[in-house]
Formats: sequence, structure tokens, C-alpha cells
Amino acid sequence: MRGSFFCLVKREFYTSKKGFITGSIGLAAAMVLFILILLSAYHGNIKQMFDYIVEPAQAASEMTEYLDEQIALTTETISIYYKVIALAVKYVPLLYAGFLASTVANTAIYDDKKLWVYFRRSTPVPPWKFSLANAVMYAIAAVFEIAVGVVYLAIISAVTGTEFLAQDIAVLLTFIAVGLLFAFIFQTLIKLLHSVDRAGIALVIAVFGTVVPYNIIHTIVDPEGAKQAADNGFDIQGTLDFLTNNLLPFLPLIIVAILSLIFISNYILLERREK
Amino acid sequence: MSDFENAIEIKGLTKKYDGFTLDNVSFCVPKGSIMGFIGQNGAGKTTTIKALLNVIKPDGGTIEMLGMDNSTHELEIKEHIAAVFDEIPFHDSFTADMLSVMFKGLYSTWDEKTYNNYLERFGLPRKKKLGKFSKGMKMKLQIATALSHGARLLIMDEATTGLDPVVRNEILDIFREYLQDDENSILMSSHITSDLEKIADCVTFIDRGKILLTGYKDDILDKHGVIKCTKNELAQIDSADIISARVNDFCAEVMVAEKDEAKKKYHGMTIDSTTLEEIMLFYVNRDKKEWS
Repeated sequence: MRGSFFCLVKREFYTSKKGFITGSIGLAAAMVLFILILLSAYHGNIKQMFDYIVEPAQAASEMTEYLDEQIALTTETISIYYKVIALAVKYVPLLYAGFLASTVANTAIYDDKKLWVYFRRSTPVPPWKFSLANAVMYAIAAVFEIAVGVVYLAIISAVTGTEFLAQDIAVLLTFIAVGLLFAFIFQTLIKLLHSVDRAGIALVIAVFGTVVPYNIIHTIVDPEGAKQAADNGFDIQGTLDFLTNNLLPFLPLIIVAILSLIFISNYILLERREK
Repeated sequence: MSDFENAIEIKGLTKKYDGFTLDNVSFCVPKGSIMGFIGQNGAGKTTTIKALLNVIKPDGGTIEMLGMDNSTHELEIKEHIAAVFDEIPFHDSFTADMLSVMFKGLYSTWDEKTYNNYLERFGLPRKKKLGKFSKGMKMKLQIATALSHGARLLIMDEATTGLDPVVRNEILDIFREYLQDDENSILMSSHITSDLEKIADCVTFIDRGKILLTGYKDDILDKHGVIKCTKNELAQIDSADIISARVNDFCAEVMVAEKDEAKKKYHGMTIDSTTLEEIMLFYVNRDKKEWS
């Protein structure tokens, strides 16, 4: 008979609690702020402003103090504005939520003490159990992120009167997968480099080390495509379509795979002995 | 747990590092006793303890703890041992209450009532963060956790180092109490020999990775002696009898390993009893033979 696994998970929660609570408060504040922006766009001042603009004559007569008559906004332009607002309001808080699980990496900071390693070795808990507790904590954080994200998307749908889209779920799960991946890399780097600062720098270098060579190779291999991408900018709709149509069915599997990766890498790092 | 005679039995333990070798270390900690593990910094005490805890993989030798091989029965052994270090191994943001939750996850035998009694006895706050604890409080908390899951063997690595004499004495009292149960044993590594002189039943002295002395403390103290003599008399002492000699301008102190023999051999000279600290000093300087 061994000690309680629940208490090991609770230890993981304790070490990530501070960052998690602070992050959750920040997330809640961001969500409220973005909902207010959305309310304003649909029912408040921003809507009023756009209503005036679609009738330029009225705007010219009533709002000359506020708007330059030279601004010729059309209904089409305003609909683009609404799309941008809707996207930002929907997805920026989801992006924030996706990175909430990274606070679990704090446990690695707490455990990065030479004597903790010795102490851990003096206990009857095998390394796989510590690793599993860590992976379970990440899974709990991911479930929390999904719950918060879904509630938020439901509120947005209610405010805008639009449907809950598969695209929204795809974006939410993508952000969670990316957040978990970053947390995994960061946590592993902390354990390998024994320093949060060094791990942070290494993470930045790893990201740039991947993105910059990719762009250079892309430019060399497909100059036309690279030029076209540079001219047209980032294809948001194309990316959203790809996430929804191609990636969505695999996203839960990808998340489970990342959690498994966290468990395995943690286990390997905990199992190794001092030379 | 099978019946066993020695709480720890180390045979031929070897671990090679660049510039340091733990060389064929062998000693036993009899069940129900407290073994003082003495040596200067870097002598190999912590390396031996790391091997006991399986933090490092030895290059050779065997280790048995509580009658079981420590590599094949690792987890079973660890249910019944506790390690205490010179610094608390938990993060500063933990509280005594949170430690209790964590220890419930670590040991199936965690006894919250015993832990609470120790907290009360040591006057340790439950909600205060460890970062705000004094060194003495942190040590008491470590001991409280170590004694609250029914450990049969305590492994202490420099646990009393850096503590004031009052706290050290309090801790030694706790160990005496713990040893009231004959099934309990302690391995206490330290370079503060005065503590071990007070409490240890047995002593093992390690230097530069080699065991120089091991056995019952009283036997070691009885056997060793310091001859107080002049420099001229020093020349008359057989070099084979000398561990080493502390020499100053006026006289010499010579450590001998066979006090009774020396008394017979050098009957004109004064031979005093010695302390563990002196034994450690004279043995550390054994290569120089004469030192000041």
C-alpha cells in the first residue's frame, strides 16, 4: 500500500496555485473587458458610432466634432470591422486561457532544489507516480481551460446572437495544445538547465531557432509563394478553415499525446540518477 | 520486513569520480543503535548517504538496509526510512499543514496525529511559510516529518550543523527518545563530534573516501590515547605506534591507537584519554606524521 495519489496531485496544485489563481483573475478580467467591448459594438457606443457612419450625411451634420468627413466608411468596411472585433473578442481571451496550464510548470521551479531530489529519492514513491501526478495536474488545468473557454464562447454567442461554431472549438483546442506544448518544453528546460531564467532564454531561442530557419528555407524553396504570403499577409480565414476542417478531429488526440509526452519526459528525468 | 541484525550493512561500496573515490567502504549500523558517521567536509559522508538513498549508482559493493538489498527492495525499504538533511528540502512557500498533505501522498503510514503532536511540542506554526522559519524551526519540522510515518531508520546528513547548542541539545533529546524503541536506528553524519560523543553508540570515521575506524564509540575512545611528551621523548616513540603527532616549540602530543600497549611500552610518559574530535584531527593528519 502506498501514499495517496490524490495528495501528490494536490502538491502539484499547491505549487502552481499562485500562478494559476493570478492567471485566472487576469483571464476573467480580460474576458469581462472583451465582453464589454462586444456589448458596446452590438448595443452601445461603438454601434452608435458605426450607425452614424453608415449614414454619412447624418454623421456629417451631427458628429463633425468627432469624425472627419473625409472618412468614407462603407457598410462593407464596417462589416469587416465587426469581423475583426468578433475575432479578437472571441479568440484573444481563449489564447490567454490556453496558456493558463503553463503555470503547472511552476512545480519544476519548486522542485529544482538539490536536496528535494535527495529527499524524493528517500521516499517510497516511484518516479512514475510523481510524473503521473504532474501530467494529471496538466490535464486538470486543460479541462479547466476547456470549461472556461466554452462558457466564454457561449456568452459571446448569446451577446452576438450567433451560433456556437466548430471553428471556435477548434481554435480553443489549438490554443490549449500549443499552451501545453510550450509548458512541456519550458518545464523540461527548467529541469535540464536548473534555472528559470536560462530556461526562458532557451525557450525563446528554440522558438526563433525554429521560425527563422523555416522562413528562410521557405523563401529559398518557394520564392513565389513567400512573396505572395508577404503581399497578402496572414490568411486568417484560411487558417481557421484548416483548423476546423482538417485538424479538429485530431486535436483531442494531440492534447492527449502532449500530456503523454509530459509524463514520459518527466519520468525519464526523475528516473535518471546522479553520475 | 524480515528479522535483521544490522539496520545498515555496507560491504565494499565503491564509487569513482574524477578526483575522488569512495574506496571499498564497509561498515554496519547495528539495529537499535545510533551510528555517528564522522569525517571532514569532502571525506565521502554525503556520497555514502547518496548511495544509501540510491541517488547515485555505486560502481561496486552491496548495501543492505533493514535486512533487505537496497537495489532490489528499494521501495519497500523506503517505506521504513526517513532522511533528514542540513537544509530543509521543501520550497519556502510550503507550510507545515501543506507538508502534512504532501506526506500523506508519500507514505501510506503517515500519522497526522503524531505529526500534529510534534508540531505542538516544537511550537511550530502550521500556516506560516517555511521561508519565514528560523534554521532551528526548519530542522525541527524536518524531524517532525521524519518521525511521523513510523520510520525504523533515520538517515541524517549534517542535520545538526549550523544550529545553536540549545536546539542541538533538544534534537539530541528527541533522538534519545526515538531510540527507546529497540527497533529504531539512526545513522548520523556530522563533523560536529561533540554531538556524537554525547549520543552515538557507534562511530565510523571516513577520510578521503576510506573508512579509517569503525566500531563502538566507547571501544574507540578507550583504545586511543594521547601521549604528552617532550620533543626528545617523541624521538623515542616507535613510529609504528604513532597515528600522528602534534608538535609545537616545547612539547608534542602523540596519538596512539593502542593506549594500554603504549602505557606499558612508554611508562614514563603521560597518556591521556582522548575525544572523537582529537581522533579525527590526528587521523586526518596521519600522512604528515608531525604537524602543528
